[in-house]
Amino acid sequence: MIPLVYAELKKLAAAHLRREGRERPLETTALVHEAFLRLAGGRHPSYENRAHFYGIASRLMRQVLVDLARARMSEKRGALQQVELAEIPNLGRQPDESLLTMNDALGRLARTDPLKVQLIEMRYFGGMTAEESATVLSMSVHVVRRELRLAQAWLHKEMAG
Amino acid sequence: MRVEVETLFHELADLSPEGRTQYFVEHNVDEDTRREVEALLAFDSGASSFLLRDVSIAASRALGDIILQQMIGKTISHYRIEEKLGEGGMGTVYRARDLNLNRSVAVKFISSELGDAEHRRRFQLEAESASSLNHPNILAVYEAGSVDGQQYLVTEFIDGFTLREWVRRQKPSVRQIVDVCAGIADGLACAHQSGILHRDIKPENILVSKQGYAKLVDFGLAKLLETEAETGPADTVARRTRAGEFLGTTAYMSPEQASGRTTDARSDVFSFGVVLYEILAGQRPFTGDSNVQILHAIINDCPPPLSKLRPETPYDLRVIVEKATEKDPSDRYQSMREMVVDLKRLQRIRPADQALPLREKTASRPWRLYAVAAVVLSIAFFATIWYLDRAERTRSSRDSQTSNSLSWKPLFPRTESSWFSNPTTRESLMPRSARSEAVHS
Repeated sequence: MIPLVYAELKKLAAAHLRREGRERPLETTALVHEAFLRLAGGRHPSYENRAHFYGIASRLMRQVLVDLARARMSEKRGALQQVELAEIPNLGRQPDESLLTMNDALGRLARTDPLKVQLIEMRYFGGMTAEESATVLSMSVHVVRRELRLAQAWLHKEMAG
Repeated sequence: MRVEVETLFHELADLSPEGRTQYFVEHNVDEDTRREVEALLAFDSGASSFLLRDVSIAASRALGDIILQQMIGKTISHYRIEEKLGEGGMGTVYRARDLNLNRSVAVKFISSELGDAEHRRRFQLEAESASSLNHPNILAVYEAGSVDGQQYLVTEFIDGFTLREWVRRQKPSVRQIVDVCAGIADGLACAHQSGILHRDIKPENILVSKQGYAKLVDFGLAKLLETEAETGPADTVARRTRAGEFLGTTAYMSPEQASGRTTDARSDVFSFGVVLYEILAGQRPFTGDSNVQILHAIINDCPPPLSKLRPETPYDLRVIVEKATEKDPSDRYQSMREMVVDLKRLQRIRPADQALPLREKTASRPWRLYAVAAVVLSIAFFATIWYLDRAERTRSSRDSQTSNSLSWKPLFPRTESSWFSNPTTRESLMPRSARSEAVHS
């Protein structure tokens, strides 16, 4: 199922973007949601199923984005000699870099605290609400909120330092 | 993360700074733990905003690349997409091959938002305004079309660089800058004369080909002069920033654009002056860390004098730049045409740094001077002969044919060598009908 979801996300993201234009930040939530609707077919899945799917999709979304950011960064380094007709503003590389930094930080966090990583993935890459995460992980919403808040603070600190 | 740190974080997260200090003291927290907790708390505020934003942007970019990979090699209409050239104000530009005419073209795909009528209108406007202009310094539009709801614009392909890139690579002399800019100014003046404002003059919208000629591109923000009052500058800023060009384009706005007043052709004059300043000086006249600061500088600040930043700039050129970048539109060139006149004048008067090597050359190679003199003398010699012969012929033909001589003469304006032909041979060379007409008319 996982390669299927990965491919579906990639395809959807491309279609989504073609519609919306590149300048508007992508709604990862919308993407994951759409992927889910497609993969679930015509069936009406339960709330639990949906949440579980979101959980898986969040991790895959992270993988998709990180893979692409890596590819793009190395491509950019290789392409420095090429003629660029339009100057891309310097700001342009930042999101890629910070995405990769974030990915590294999450990797470190996963060794000691995989739950927090999962929550971050669900929030950032799956666009899931605290309630949805709580359902998937069979936890109380309150605990999810607390954990997420701490995880975010830690992530910001790691990325700033 | 230590459990102790986590617990403390949760305990303290919603307390005031004073409350936190008090808590640390009361619970006798050791220094290391306290530092760790405080560091975490410092990053607690503001929470997810920038991370989320970066993830979103990275996602957009990443997925844009997927589209890009899908696009290259595809054939759209009869254009085979070959390579990405860059991103313009309204979309992505590719080099493509026109399979019908087997030539290189540039195809711009418009990043259109779903059901955005304004986007479509602007695209249409760009296509119309640019294609209505026929000028060597304006990028020629070949076709506007749409495939699967994706709009595209096909233009001529320029093998070269943006003006910014050209300056960086070429390190052009003042002379070369004037030559390139005079062309662009002429193109812009032509657009104005057709009633079209560009409104987004910047180094990225000027291409310089490898042969050295310059083209004005991207009429995406262009407006017809009459409809100018419709939208304010806030709108323009919004469009520009929406297109993902953060600080770049604001820097070329005129004070009236920046402060929300209506703009006219003189606003383009200003922007063009800013471009000219920048490529001469190597820095922008109005700078700042944010769009707001840049706009403030445009409205209030006086740029550092060109004489300091590039001392070899001729006085006349400095005056041109200053006159174009006056804050008050009524103090500026009142039309682009006026500016063109001054730039062309400057082109004719060679600046001192160009005149010098020319003189040195002639001095070191005197034979060149003799060669030139010989050519001039021989031209003078033949001209004299021709003139004398013509005078003679005119007299004789006037005698024989009176008024008819004028009516047949233009039939042989250049090809004949008049000193070996005479009225008789000429007459026999003419078709009979023409001759009789000439005689009887």
